Amino acid sequence: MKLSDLTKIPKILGAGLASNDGFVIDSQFTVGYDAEKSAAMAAQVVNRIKRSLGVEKASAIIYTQNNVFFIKETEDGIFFTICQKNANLGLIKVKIDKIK
Amino acid sequence: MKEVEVEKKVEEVKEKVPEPVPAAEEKVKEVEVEKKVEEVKEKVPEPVPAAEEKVIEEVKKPVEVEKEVEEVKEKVPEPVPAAEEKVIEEVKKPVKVEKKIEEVKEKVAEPTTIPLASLDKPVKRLLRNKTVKGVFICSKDGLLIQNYFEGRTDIEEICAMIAAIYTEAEESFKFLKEGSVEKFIIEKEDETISVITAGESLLTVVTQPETKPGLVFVYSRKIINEIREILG
Repeated sequence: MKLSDLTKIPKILGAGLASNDGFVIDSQFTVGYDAEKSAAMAAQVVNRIKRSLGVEKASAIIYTQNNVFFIKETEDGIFFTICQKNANLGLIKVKIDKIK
Repeated sequence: MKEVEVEKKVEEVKEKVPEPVPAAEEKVKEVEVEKKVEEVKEKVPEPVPAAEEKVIEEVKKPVEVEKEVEEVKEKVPEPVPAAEEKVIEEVKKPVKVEKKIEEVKEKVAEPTTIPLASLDKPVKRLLRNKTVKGVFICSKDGLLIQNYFEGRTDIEEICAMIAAIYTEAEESFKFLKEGSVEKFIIEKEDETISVITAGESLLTVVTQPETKPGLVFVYSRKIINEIREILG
């Protein structure tokens, strides 16, 4: 799946793919959002979950005051998406679940 | 004629007499005043020694006053010493208060009701869902507060892990300036862990992977409101 397929969904602020050590592999973000910071944060959270819970492929949805973050560890790397709180989270999750 | 001549002579003599000097006039006046004072002194009678003596005698008679005081004293009744002593004795006597202390019945110590008991109802409603494995509440430090997860012994370890993930995510999002973490879902192969912040505590719901996360959040909201009321 291409990143553009995901970023087409309304209220998605950006999506990207990061390596396990937090470097950006690919990203598509709207202006004002830092892809590198988001990639680093996604890698940090995934590594913490893996260490704490002993999960092979970690996946998390994190709700903050303003936005919602989807993080998923795939074969290619750590996939991450940022969207607004009032976005269709179910649709975004379905799209992300298709990524393996 | 003789009279006329006399008058003329008198007038002549008067003309010849020099006018009185002012200093002499003053002296004359002083002499006259002195004379008048002497006359007044002579007229004033001398003080009678007998009257003076009488006044002194009147002042010197304290004996009579003393007598009157004694008479008044005799009329006033003296305090009765016996009555005073009685009163003192009555005051000195300790008042014996006879109050019976009620015996306190021994009560069997009952475990104090936990304020979290009010959480039971909404939690049980959540647990009725077959896909929900268990629920537990822990502090943000990772300490267990309440456990509704039966058949699992490593709850305290999971609490610590959940708290660690929460704090790490919180720090990361602070770095991103995205605000604090409200809730997060961790998807594992065999189960899904939903963590919701409620004040200073974390509500964790462990479900099967096929559960509906929306339903979990709806039920959890009621539990969170209760937790906020109880734990703040």
